[in-house]
Amino acid sequence: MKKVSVILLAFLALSCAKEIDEHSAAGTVGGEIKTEKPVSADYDRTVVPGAAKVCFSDEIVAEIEAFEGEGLPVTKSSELGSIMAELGITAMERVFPYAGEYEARTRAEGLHKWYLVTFDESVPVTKAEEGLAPVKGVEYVEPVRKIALHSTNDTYWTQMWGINGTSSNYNIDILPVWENYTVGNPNVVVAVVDGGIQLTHQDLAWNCLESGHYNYVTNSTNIVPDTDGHGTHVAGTIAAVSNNGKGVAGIAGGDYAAGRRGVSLLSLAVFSGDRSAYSFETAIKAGADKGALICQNSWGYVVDTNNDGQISQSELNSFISEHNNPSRVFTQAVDYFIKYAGCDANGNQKADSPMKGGIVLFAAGNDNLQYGPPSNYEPIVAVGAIRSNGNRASFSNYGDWVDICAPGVSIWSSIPTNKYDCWDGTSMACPHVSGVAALLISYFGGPGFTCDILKEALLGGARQIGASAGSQPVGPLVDAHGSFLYMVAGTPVPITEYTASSVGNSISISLETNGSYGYMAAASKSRSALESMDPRSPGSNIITERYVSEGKTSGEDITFVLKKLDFSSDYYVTVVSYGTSYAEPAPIKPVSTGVNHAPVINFDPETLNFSQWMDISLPVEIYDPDFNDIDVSFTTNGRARVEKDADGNWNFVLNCQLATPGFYKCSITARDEYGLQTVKNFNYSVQENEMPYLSLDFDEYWLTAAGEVLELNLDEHFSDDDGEPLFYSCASYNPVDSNTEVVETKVNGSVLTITAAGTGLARVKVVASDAIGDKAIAEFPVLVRPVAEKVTLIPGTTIGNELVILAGVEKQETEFSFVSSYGVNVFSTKSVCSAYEPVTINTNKLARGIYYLKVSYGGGIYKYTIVKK
Amino acid sequence: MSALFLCVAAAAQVVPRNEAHPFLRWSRDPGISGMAGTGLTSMTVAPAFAVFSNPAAIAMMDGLGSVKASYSLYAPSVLKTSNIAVGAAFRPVKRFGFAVGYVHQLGYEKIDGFAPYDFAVGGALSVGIGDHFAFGVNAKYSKACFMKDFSSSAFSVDILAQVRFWEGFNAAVGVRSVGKILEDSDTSDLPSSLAVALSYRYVTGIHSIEALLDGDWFFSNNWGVSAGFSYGINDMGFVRVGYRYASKYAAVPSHIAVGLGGKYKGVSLDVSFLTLNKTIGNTFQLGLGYSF
Repeated sequence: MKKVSVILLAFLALSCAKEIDEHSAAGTVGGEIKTEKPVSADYDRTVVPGAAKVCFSDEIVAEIEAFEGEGLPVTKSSELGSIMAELGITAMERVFPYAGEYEARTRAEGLHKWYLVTFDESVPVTKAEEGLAPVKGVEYVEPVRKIALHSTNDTYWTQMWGINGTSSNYNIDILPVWENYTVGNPNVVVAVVDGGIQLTHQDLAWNCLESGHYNYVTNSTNIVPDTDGHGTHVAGTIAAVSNNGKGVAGIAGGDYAAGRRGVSLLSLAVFSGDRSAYSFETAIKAGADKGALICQNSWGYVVDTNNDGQISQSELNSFISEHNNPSRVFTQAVDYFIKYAGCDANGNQKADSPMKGGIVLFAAGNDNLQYGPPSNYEPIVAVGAIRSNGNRASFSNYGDWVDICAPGVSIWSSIPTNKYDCWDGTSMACPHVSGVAALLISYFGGPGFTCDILKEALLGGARQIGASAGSQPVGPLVDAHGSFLYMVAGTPVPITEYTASSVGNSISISLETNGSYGYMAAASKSRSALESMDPRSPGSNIITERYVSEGKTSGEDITFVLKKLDFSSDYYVTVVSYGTSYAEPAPIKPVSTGVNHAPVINFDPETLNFSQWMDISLPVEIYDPDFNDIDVSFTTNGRARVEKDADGNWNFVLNCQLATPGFYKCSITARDEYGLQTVKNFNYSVQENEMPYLSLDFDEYWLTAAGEVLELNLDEHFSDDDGEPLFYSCASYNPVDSNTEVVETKVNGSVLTITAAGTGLARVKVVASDAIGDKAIAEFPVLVRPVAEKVTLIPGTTIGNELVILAGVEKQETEFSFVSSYGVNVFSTKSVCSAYEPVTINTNKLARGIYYLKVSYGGGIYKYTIVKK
Repeated sequence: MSALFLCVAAAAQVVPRNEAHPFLRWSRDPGISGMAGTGLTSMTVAPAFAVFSNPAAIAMMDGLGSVKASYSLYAPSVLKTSNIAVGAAFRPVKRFGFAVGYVHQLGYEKIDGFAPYDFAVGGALSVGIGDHFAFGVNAKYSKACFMKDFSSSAFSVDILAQVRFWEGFNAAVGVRSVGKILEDSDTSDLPSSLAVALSYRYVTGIHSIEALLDGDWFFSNNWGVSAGFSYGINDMGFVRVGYRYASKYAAVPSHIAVGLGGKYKGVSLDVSFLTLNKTIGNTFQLGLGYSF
């Protein structure tokens, strides 16, 4: 059963839909249903008016080709002639024009039978389809679908994160490839089926083919970029000239500074200015005939066909229909490209072609839907988009049919008139994959290199990320380096020896790596199923598990597990190594699974008595011996938690600072997916915090000159019976003259450094804090005075209302006397003091004048002339 | 919670109030210094330095006038400053006299390159009322320069009355050094006091003795009492001795003084020596005068 549904209208184009009649029809030829489609005004909005693609029978085609007159061909089919007149058909031309040396294979694939029929635009397309479909000699009728370019340009770019990788871990890892393998090769041609490329762009011209470009809108060789510059943007991501000091760097853009050209760009313009071509398939097919090996397509069918910003149910239904029923002419064109790209007229790989066959890549679409025609056609590599954080771009279509994803948000690239811009879209993601594919061909291409190998490398080397799985998957992230490593691993070496053992319903496979890219273990209850297994599609009765040994050298022992088998059952297992292909399976071995085992909880720390300062994280070993998934729950009347860390390990976690001292009960329960559980009960306690205290008094410290340094280990002076680390802070002040700095202090860990900065007495205050914030504070004096200076007068010999006298270093009885300059003994006293415990003399009542101060201690007499102001 | 471990600093000491310009109370006359400053009513020492002593004595002096100059090596063990003083007293008419005087002290240890000094200059008027009573007033300007830009100046007066009860017995009473520091920012006190003095002189033949007693009660609650004795022979030679006992912070501290004097045809030469005081001990004073 074949279905004819929607075909295209250009994204930027043409619309001019007219009122149409609504009706539907279905007919059969030779018992085969030829058309089956919704008939409505909505449907007509999804297609280009006045055009349809018709596949004729060989007989009709022969008559058309035999017609040598002018105007429309005349055939023997009166029915066809009648409908042509009825529809007002004005032109018929081959969708896939005469292909010269490739005409034979074009015909072999039946492509010559497709004609683009243009008719009066007042005739609804549905009517044209329904009129043509039942006609004898008409095999298929397909409308021309409206096409959308898969990009938006409403955000701004900050950096080329998808390529350079400095700002995101989700780049395509291209740098190792450039450094170690290739920057592209001009003999690899990438057909950009898109808006016309600005071939003279300063960042593209070097990598554009000199000829071969074609404009399918104007049917000429004059390449005119589309209005937005979409084709130029896509081309820049693939092969903008790198290392030329201009604009952006393409993935396969060569190295301008090193004189190495990148891959060659072939512009097959299906958008030009504000118009689009009728037949995009024509361009796809022509790409293969023009020597392209990669067919890059960042376009797809329009879902919001009336462009009202809403997707109606009928629009969605039409879109889903297109998803489920790919256009025949489209699939034939794609198949042709994949089959014949790089091949001569006989279907053999050309001597100068690096690959046999081609690869067709399509953007998945920007509708945030699980459909994406036509990119979902299975042979196509459908490309979804991710953001720089690794998440699926919100606009990207998704689903299992999306083969691979690439950066598609905030992508900088070239646009016409030598400019650059930052766009979003799966249109921007797709050329990332095309660029990597081009690099793979550039390096590995040669005789025997096929498009299947390329696709295997592209998908096999891609990286699994979060966006690759879940309910809205967009496939693994294209990984240039990964794909190269995948290729380097090359043909796998068969595994001959391995061990298989079971625990519960799991079977562990252990083997020694042999340099293969990966290893697939397979288990089945049927030996014959394993014996006939196709590793690429093992079948539903075979359970597999893969181990990718990327980066591992040969000879390393690895173990991986086949899980979720049946308990107490007999299985057969084997191992297949793989790389660019699959090796012969290893000998099949019988293994019996066992009974279910309860999960294991191992948690026996030395103590569960914690101090209040502690921040506890103790490993808890929780696992299922049968390798089944387990649910872990934890209950407590305290603040502790049992949680899994980033590495997937379980930990008992408790911030005791937040806990109230006391005794708490806990329980960990681990339950496997079959209901078997283990419970671990335990208690923990949190002790009241012990305050830090001064355990060793500070001395009185004497520095003799500015710059002299004293270091003290504060841990020797403070203690905390909890054993917790103490944090220190320190400050100093001058108790005599606050304006004069005597010492500078600095704390580094537990080391206090005191540096003499002046002369006099300082008091140093040290605060020791524990984790809870309890503090112990100590203060001690530091004297800075030369050895020869026996007495220090502060503020000096000219005084005001106060004189501080720093006498001897040792504390002892000291006598002070003031005699006026007229011999009057105005004051004398004795005091037990020292330089660290200075004597302060209030001179407020002392009359202004000159006085003679005598300081006597320790048998010495020291005289000073003092001026009281 | 915090625990505090602090060291304790020593307590402050307070200097008691003292007096500015104490040099106003020094004796500049070695005849008086030799009797520990007991000279307010002395009849054997001419009142040439009355400006720094008792102005009332001018009106009761025997001659018409007296001039005198002195030099002191003051407190050589502590200060070692030099004092130079000149004074003159005149009684041009009976029961009226006047005097002038100037003292200058220098030789202090330099401070920041500046050599401190001080001086006082003044004048006195004296009026007698009858033969047994006299009244006198001194007015003085004094200044102490401590540093280049730091000095203290004052104006003060002495007001005393003297009574001669009979020949040889005198008494005086009055206030001394009452005045004010001239700098507004300086609230120091001058060494003001209430002064009382008694003296008795007995002459027999060529011998004479004189006993004196002076007392001061300072407004700063300090006090001092001096007792002096002089023996003279033929009114030409004199031996003097005196003792002063004063409170701890009095302007002139306790000490013992001895002195010698000679006089011939109006010319006098006196010396004095102070001892038994750690500060002003060993102060030596020499004076040369002329009375007419």
